[in-house]
Amino acid sequence: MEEIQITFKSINVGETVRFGEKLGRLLVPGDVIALIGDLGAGKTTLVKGIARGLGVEDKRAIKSPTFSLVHLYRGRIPVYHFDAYRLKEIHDMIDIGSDEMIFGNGVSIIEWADKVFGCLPKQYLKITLTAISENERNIEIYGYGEHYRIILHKIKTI
Amino acid sequence: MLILGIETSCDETSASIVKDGNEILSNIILSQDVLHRQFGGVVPEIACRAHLESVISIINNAVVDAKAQLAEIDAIAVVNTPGLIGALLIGVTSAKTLCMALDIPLIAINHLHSHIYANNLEHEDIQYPTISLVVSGGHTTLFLSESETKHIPLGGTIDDAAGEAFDKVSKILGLGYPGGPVIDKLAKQGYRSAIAFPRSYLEKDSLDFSFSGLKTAVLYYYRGQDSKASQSKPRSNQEIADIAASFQEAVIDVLIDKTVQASHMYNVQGILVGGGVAANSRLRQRLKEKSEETGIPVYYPSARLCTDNAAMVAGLAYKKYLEGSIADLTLEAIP
Repeated sequence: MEEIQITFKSINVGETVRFGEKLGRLLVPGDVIALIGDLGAGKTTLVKGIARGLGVEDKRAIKSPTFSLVHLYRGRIPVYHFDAYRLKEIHDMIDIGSDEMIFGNGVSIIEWADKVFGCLPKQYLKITLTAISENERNIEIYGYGEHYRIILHKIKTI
Repeated sequence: MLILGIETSCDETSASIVKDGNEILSNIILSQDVLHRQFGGVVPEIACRAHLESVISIINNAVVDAKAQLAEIDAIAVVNTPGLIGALLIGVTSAKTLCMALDIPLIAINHLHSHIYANNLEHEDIQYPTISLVVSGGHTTLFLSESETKHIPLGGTIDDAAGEAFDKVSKILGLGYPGGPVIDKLAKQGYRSAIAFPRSYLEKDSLDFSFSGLKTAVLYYYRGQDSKASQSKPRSNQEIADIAASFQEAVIDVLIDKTVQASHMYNVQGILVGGGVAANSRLRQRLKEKSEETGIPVYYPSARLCTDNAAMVAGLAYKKYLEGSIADLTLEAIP
């Protein structure tokens, strides 16, 4: 499958949030976003932006799900915020009911997705965050499947 | 009145019998720490299975240890929120089944409120209202407490919980899980002012917390500015102790400042602290100093009642029972 990639350099937390917000506005029910990046790379920060773009008004609601594994936020569509940091196997992910959410009618965002790739559908958006310095982040996005290629094309043009 | 409490919200399976809300007759806690340590955190599948395997014998032990009979129990209390859904379900289902079989009332308990009540098990002189801080691996929340049962949330973390920051920094420094006790111990050998890590206070007057930036700052300090793990220079034990001590102090500064700020805003009679991080020795020392300075009494439970346990659940349930707060058998677990 041909993939499309865009790269974006964020110079601070605010820019990462704004980028997420832009992406969030383009998402529709059923979309899946896989986030990859080390501790402190800005994954939860990006989710704050995406959720805001999806109409989640209460910015306090969006926090790290490391402990509780999944959070649900109510926006213009439901947002499932997963964190696979503490998981060892795909089974652990399925155990918390990930299938119902990922293949449901919300937008699913999965932190540490590289640990649970087997739970993802064939088509999804993969975002890799890499720290360049204490504040700067490199954001690389791959779209797998036609639907996500269109989203990436829209991001490029706005 | 004898109440059996059941707690399975995370990785401790616990059952306890408490008489009249403050006399602990038994408090059995089976920690899954050993099971989880090899994974660097709580693994839900393991938590759920381990609860299932042990909950019946833990309840039996609690009854035997209290020198009681199941037939003498007057009510059963269970934590039904918040926590891991699979783990909560084991406790909730056990409690409902027992209540049905014994034909006694069921009382639903909020995990965070029970952490606050741990103070009431050991202190009789608490006056309300209070500011109550619950600080643990999964939570960092400030409440205005109007009584043992009435808690209004004022603020909480907007990213990582304080205990989660301890765990993640522990992992960055290569110190293992759980991070709280390890960092607490190591910090005693370090200089608290060695490194000026950032203290995040958010907007003025905000009672919310943020520990994500601090975690990143520690990561950068430890690895050096170029951020590549492979390029990090070797650190001496003293340097690691200094990082641990400076990090811990940054967390505690913010916890204490916000709690004291809230206590002034609401003009309270006392400050209650609960949750696993309340066992941190430096936090306890600083709270005590603050209490002497401000004249506001500060309470924290003994270390064994800071971590998850069912005695605080059965204790709080007595107060809820007196208020007529009884759950029906359709009670659900809410993650």
